[in-house]
Amino acid sequence: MPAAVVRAGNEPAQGGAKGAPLVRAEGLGVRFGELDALIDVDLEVGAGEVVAVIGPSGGGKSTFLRCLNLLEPPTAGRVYLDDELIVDADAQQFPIGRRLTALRRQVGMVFQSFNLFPHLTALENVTLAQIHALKRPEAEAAARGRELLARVGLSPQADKRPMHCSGGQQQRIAIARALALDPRLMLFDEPTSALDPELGIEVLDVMRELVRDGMTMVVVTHEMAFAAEAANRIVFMADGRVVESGPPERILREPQHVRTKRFLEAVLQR
Amino acid sequence: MVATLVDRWPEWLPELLDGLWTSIQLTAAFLAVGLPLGLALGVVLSSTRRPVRALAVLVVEAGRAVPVLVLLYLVYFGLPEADIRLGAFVSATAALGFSFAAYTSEVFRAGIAAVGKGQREAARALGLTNPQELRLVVLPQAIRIVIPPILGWAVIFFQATSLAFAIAVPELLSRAYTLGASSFRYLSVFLLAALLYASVSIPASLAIDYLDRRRGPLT
Amino acid sequence: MSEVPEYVVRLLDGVRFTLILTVGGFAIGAVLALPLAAARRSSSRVLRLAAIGYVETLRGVPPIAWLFLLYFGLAQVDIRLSSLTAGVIGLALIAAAYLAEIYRAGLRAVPHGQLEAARAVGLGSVRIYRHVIGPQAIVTVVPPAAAFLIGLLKDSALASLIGVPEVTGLALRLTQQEFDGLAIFTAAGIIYLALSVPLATFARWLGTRLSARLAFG
Repeated sequence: MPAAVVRAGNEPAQGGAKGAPLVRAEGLGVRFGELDALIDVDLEVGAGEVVAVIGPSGGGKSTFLRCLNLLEPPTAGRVYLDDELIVDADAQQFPIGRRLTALRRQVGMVFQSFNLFPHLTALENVTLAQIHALKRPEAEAAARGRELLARVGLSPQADKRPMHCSGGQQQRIAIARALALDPRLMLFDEPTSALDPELGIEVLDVMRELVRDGMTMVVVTHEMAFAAEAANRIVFMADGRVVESGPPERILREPQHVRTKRFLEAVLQR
Repeated sequence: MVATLVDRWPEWLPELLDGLWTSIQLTAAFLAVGLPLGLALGVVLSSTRRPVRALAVLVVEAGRAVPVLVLLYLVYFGLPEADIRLGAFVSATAALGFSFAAYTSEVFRAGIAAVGKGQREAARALGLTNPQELRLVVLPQAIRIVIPPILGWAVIFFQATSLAFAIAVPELLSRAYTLGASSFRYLSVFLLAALLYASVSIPASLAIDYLDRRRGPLT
Repeated sequence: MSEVPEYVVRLLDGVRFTLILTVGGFAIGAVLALPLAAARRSSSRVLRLAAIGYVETLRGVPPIAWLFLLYFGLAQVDIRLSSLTAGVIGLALIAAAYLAEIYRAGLRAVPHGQLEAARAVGLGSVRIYRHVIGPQAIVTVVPPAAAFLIGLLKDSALASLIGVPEVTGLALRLTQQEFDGLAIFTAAGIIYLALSVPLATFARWLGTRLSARLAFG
């Protein structure tokens, strides 16, 4: 296994050891009618930490991620951002309106199916939210946009529409789009699952760069190699619950739970 | 035999073309009213709030259940009782515009629904407000999707401008009728009028079909 | 506006004609559309083009113009049709054009494999259409045909302009006597609304019966 990615400046954070965690979920649950998609999930992510969430499909990973930026309102539990309570599902307190959009701007999300806006060019995709959500002047937004596109290696594609870009390029544009709002936390929902392995590599490289730059990230993924080298912590979720969590070396080499073992055996020994 | 059918066509043509121009003006007028109204109704029909949506359904169903001719009469003869006296052209614009909006609201609604859920999620994740999401992401795509069917309805309603004959708007059909009445050559003049309608409708429909095929996959 | 119910009653006399125009036009048109749809799918280029020409022309001209041509125009060449006859024929010709296209779409929707399987089993063309393709095509045809029937109901109002005393025609006459346009035409609107519901249901019922009958009758 490749060596763990060295972070700019600081050592890999141990869960919660560096002061107040950036985001904390307590007893988070999501229920759809009769189905419990998420049950009693507790998770903390410290500033600068990279958490990889792995597990079988339908295990609640995506649902959990989407609770963090409130694309999915939890039906139970609480979410804290910087120790401030932002969602209290038990007390039916959900942020709405301006508060909600302000919160969402602090959290960037990258989707499995990219979800780029097809009627806009790459640059326009990246500047749209800057101009309308952050009210940045166009010139500044465009400059920042080009800077970000350069950072993900796509300067030549700035004026192209998504349909003229490869899958890997589209996902990198999506990452640039999410970064444009200067979020404090980046959420990745299986960013490479819809890509050919070769195209997935370019996306993972960009993500490794982000890790190096100290971005706080929660990544739902099936890419075990990436999780092993880039994450500070791996969380294994199945059937809506957190089964185990810990440093990559321990989880991947010596999983404690039977469920974890079963999953890893299936994934690592295909 | 054919000669007697077409012999006065050159003589009648300027008058009928003038009437056709009135029909086209009326078309532009009702589109100016009906397109934004249809879009607005389509947006309301897509609302997640049931009472709001129910209201729009009511308006649309009423607009679609009633013959356009009755709507025309309703506006022209009915409104003066409420002391609203609109001229014939304006009455026709209002009636056709409302009817057009009622029929196309469903097309707009379908277009909005066709914009993928992922688009909306991405917009929300970026912190855009609901109105922004609608204006910047959903509508630009929805409108592109619905252009061919909307144009199709425009052609159908262009033909419906002939109903304005009933409230004395001097459009193509009423001119043809007047010419027919004075010359007793109804067959001849109505054939010419039909030809003129077809000369606009048929190429327009073909152009729309071509547009539809050329666009290909949108996203 | 409180007179609306009273006006509805007075307009009911016109419903008879509205229904004759609508159902008559639809029924005749539905039959005429069969050979038209067949011609549209024919291997003969002439037949195909003739069918396309008919459909496009019918649909490219306002329905009222066709009614005028039949009523006023034919009178010129000494073919004097009553306004009701002209109305029914006009609506039937229009219905044939639209229904032919609907039939075409319905036939296209039946998987080609059905035709091949039926041929493989040794069924002749007529039987194939009657027992295999027809019933399946009808399922696709019924919804748009029912919608068209409702559309034709509204087009029947046009016949008022050539003097048929159907609902709209009566409403206009009434307005010229009573000057209560708002209430009278609202009453007319209500009648059309009320008629469209049972018509739609009838159309769907007819479709189901027809499909079953064709398949097993």
